[in-house]
Amino acid sequence: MKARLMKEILIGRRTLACRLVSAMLALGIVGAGGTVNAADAAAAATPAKVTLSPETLAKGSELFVKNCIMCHDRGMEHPGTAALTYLYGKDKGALEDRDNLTPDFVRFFVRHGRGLMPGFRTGELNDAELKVLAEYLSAGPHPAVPAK
Amino acid sequence: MDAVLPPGIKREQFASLVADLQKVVGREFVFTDTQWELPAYNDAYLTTPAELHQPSAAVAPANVEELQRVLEVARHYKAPLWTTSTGKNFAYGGPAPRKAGYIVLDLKRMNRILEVNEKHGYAVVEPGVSYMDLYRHLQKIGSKLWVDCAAPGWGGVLPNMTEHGVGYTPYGDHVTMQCGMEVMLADGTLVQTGMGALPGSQTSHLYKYGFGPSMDGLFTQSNFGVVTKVGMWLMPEPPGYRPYMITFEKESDLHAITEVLRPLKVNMLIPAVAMTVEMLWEAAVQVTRRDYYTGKGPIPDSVRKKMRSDLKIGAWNFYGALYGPPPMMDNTWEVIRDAFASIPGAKFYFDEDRAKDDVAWQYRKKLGAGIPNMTEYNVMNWIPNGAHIDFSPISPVTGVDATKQYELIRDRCNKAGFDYCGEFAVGWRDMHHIFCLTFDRNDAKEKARANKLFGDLVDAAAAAGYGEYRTHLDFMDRIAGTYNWNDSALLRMHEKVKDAVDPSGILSPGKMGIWPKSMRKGRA
Repeated sequence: MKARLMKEILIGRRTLACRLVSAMLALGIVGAGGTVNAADAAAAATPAKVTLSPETLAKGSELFVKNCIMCHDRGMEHPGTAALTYLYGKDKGALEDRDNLTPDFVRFFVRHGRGLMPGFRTGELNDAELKVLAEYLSAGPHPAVPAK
Repeated sequence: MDAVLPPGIKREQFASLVADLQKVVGREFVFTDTQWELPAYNDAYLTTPAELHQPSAAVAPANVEELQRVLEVARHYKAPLWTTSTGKNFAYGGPAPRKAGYIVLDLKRMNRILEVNEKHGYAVVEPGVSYMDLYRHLQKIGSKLWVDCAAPGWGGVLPNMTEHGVGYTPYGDHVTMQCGMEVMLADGTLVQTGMGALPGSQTSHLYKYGFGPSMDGLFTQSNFGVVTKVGMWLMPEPPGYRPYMITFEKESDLHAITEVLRPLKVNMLIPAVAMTVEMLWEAAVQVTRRDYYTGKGPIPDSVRKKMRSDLKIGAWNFYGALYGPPPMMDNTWEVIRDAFASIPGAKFYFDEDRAKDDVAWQYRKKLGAGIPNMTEYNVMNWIPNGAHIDFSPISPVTGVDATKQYELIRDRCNKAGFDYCGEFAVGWRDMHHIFCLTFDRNDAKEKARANKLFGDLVDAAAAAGYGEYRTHLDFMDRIAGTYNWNDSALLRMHEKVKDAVDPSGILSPGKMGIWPKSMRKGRA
């Protein structure tokens, strides 16, 4: 865990994170059913904060509730949150509490999955929706949204 | 990943096939990009190489009219389609096809809830509707009907039923609760089964059997058609719901629990699918293996004991629920409590007796009331990079069978270096033994070991007279091969039906071991 944290601290640039994901794709390091551990480093990106319009925020939140919250809501009963807590520590388990996600990073894991999370198909979450969702998560942290 | 082609189709034909599909559903709903679109059609929990199940493309029609034209294109090119609906049939293959090169027929966009009938207690849904979609819809319209969901709440109402899935309320036997079906045959004919075949019928979703042979079963766990709509009976919210848990001290108590349970189930005092859950399943949803043990191989008994004490769980943990007016629940509870109290060491719990942060209890409580959630996926957090496939033989509800099955699987599982994690689900007269085989998806050797163990279990169970109710893509042929009475008469009948209703062999070749004539050499 310590080594991973160090790696995250060392690789703390958004651009580098994007390059990493692109490079991994090109090299086939990450792919279907393959290991994605190397991509964890990209989670450490320190993104430049963007301000989203209220419409994008609302739409992003709606997409998060529809597609993600069952696994990624706050609380260890949610398997995505539990998995990320085991990996990164208590404060980084819930995606909406994260302040270091980037759109490219979110896009990559939504389409390819990681660990127990399978990828999401374009037919269930299209590219336009994914763009909004990725922007929303990258603008975090967000206040708690009650599960519906 | 490199692009692959459908079996028997050349590159230039494939380009023309894709163009034809695009004309039907639009360019944005034919997926061929191997970097961003097709990886999500892989099975995240494979024990075999992903290349064996990599699709050449996926196509997502929006309605039955588009579906009809997709089938026309597939027939023209003799291209194999693999039907998936919500695509969440994980542990059994997810959205991935049986063989590399198939085109996935993705029905997720057909996701309308067509009717909720409050008076008669049913809903009519398309293939892409998840349990959570239906639950949220019922909440939104203020319905007093319950959903009955599979443990992973992102699963689909229609496809879970067609896969013979079960839930945890009194409506947990999903095939029994299905009434009325619309199915498209390979030639594009749309059929309404049962009462729905009568124009203007008011009872399509009220009476299951219609007139003449009941056809619905032919389209479950099969590749004889594409189910496009089903009616599902929904349980009205009962006047009271009181879930309970009973813990048992000894591993050997499984025999007595099962014997006590059978008459309670047969006499319907326990109306929902009754769950007897081994301790590790309970632990795995809330702690990790490395919290307790960092050695190799199965965790030792001394560690299991500590976990049981920490988590206040038994060696076996029984979950049930009372439904109905309070006086009825009180009376029923006396019978159930007295029956299980005959087992020394039994401890009884209601909601007020379990902690608010008891993850295992809280999600079982939700499932018993049909509230979709994903907590059970936490079992994969037991180990890093955890994935799972489920081995699920059926047996009679007897203590002898429960113990025999448990020992058969536990011993082979431990010998192969895995932790046993399982539960027994008792339905009307049957018992599903679900063994959740969790492995590290990033460890090729461990995956190979898991695959071998699974195959050994199929053979050992069949030798003891137990057959599986459902399985992963990789074991469909092997398990179909165990149902071989009278020179595989059943499989040969399936093949006759297949050849009659899908002569081009385009629908899900190999599903449940049923291959079209042109591909029968591929049968293992």
